[in-house]
Amino acid sequence: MNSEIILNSQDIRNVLAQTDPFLFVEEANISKKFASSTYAISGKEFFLEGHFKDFPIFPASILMEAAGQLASLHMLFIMDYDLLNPEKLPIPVFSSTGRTSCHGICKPKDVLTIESYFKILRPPMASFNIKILNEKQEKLAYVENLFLTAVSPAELKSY
Amino acid sequence: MNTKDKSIAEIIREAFRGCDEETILAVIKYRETGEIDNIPEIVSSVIKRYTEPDFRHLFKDINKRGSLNLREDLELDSLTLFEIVVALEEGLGLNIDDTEVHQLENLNAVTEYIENLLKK
Repeated sequence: MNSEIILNSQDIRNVLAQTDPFLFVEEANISKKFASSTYAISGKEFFLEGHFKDFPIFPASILMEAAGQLASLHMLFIMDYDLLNPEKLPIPVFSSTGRTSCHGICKPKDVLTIESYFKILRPPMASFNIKILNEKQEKLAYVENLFLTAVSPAELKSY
Repeated sequence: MNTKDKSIAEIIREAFRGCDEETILAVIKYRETGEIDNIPEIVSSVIKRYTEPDFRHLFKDINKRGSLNLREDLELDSLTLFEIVVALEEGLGLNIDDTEVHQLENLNAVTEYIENLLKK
C-alpha cells in the first residue's frame, strides 16, 4: 500500500460509483489514518432549487453523502485497492452512523473541507469519523462512527 | 480528534453512545478495576442499544433476557452484530473474533464469550 495518494477529480470519477450530478468530493488526499477532500458549492446544484425555495442552503443529507463519498475512497485505499488504476472495485454503501450533528449553514460559494478519520476495518465493513468544516475552519457537521459495507456491483444489481 | 488524543472515558462514551449512564459508568469501572461483575449488564445494554425500538421491551424481563435469540427474537442482522462487536471492542479494550460472535445465538452466549475473553 502507498503511504499516501492524491486523487484528482477524474481519478475520483474513475473510482467512485457516484458521479455528476451527485458527486461531492473534488480532490482527495488519502493516507491510512486520515483523508481530506474539498467541495466548492457552485450554487448550480439541482437540489438547491428546492432546498429551500427562495434561499438555497446546502442540505444536511448531502453533507452526509459527501462524508460517505470521502469515506468510500478512504475505505478502498485502506483495503489496498489501487485507486490510480482501479479494477474490479467493490462499491462501499452506507450501513449506519452512531451520531450525526450539524453546527452551521452552508451556502452557495462556500468551500467545504471534509476530513475522514479511520477507525476500524473488518472486511467487508469499515468505520470512520467524519468532520466537515468551512473555509474559516468552523465545524459544520460531524458524523461519528460512519459504517460502510463494501459490496460487489453484481451483488448490488441483483437486488 | 484522533483516537490517540482521547481519554479512555471519552472512548467509552463514544463507543457506548446511546447506552444509559449506568452502563457507561460500569464500563469505566471495569477499565479501572478489571472487575467483570457488571459484564452481563454491559453486554445486555449494548445489544439493547442496537436493537430496534420495537424489540427493546424484551429486555425488561431479567429472567428471560439471557435467552433472547439475537436473530430470531431481536432480528439483529450481521451488519448490526458487527457494530455491536466494534462497540464492545472499543469500550472494553478487547479484540473480538467477529466470526465467532456471529456463531453465538443468544445474550447469555455473548456474555459468556466476553467474560471468557476478559479472564484471559
